[in-house]
Amino acid sequence: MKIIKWGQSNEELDIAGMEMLLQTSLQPVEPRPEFKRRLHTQVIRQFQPVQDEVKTIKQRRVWMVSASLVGGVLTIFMGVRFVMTLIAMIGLILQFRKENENRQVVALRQVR
Amino acid sequence: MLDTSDETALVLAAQGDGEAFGVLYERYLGRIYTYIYYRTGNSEDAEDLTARVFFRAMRHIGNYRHRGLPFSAWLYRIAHNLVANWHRDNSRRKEVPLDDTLMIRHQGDHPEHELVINEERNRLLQVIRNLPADRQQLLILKFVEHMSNAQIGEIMGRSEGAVKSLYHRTLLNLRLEYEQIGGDWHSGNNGSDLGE
Repeated sequence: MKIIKWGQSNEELDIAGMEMLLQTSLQPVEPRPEFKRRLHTQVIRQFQPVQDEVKTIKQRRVWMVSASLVGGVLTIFMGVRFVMTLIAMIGLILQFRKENENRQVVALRQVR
Repeated sequence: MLDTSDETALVLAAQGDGEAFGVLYERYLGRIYTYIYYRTGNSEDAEDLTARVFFRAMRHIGNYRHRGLPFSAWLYRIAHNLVANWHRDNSRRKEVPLDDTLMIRHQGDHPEHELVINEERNRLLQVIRNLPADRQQLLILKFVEHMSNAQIGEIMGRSEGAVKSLYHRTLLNLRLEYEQIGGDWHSGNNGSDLGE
């Protein structure tokens, strides 16, 4: 119980009054014994060894990291192969063009 | 087993000891139930959400130790989140009068007087339930759990000063709201009137 001192401001008195009202109005509420007992039984029965769950989560993480690494390496490999194929194609095209030009020059010389 | 500290019980529970979790359950059930009861306003939802809090705590107890909070603060946070979801799901918020459990008996009082007191109390609780969630939480932790501002700060993720300031604003706001619906907060000055 708060003691209201003489000379306190109105605001302080208001707050003290509200505090007293709240102190008497807000009181702990007990759950039904039946609910308490039933939930206790359920919680204990369904209680899983947490370590196993943690281990499962760790294993899942290891799998995910491994899969990401393999996926990443494969993607890089595919990318490199693509670039190499592209360079080879360009090389072939250039070579084909050059050979064509050479053939045309030879043909022109023969005509002359 | 019942006199073990929270820390010991937590370590054992994290290692899969169901009995240790049972100790924590016995220790905190009433507090969590009370908190949820005041936030929801009816015992059915309070029971449902309380059960969910303990099942969630049971599932995630292995992750708890890394957070550096007291176990009670952790439980209150779970309860707070579940109640927030509950309010979100119930778009049409139920205005259910609080159950008879709050009708506190006053031996020797006249029935009429008792009725008036309980009416005042229910009116106040109605005003509290219309406050923003963080303010409701603050009042429940302060007056039902008798926690210090520092402890409340740990649960709410605020500094002690911020809690103190919020508390002050909440009480002034509450007084205004309470007066607007015709409540007589001055009756709080007379402790004997309200079951002291």
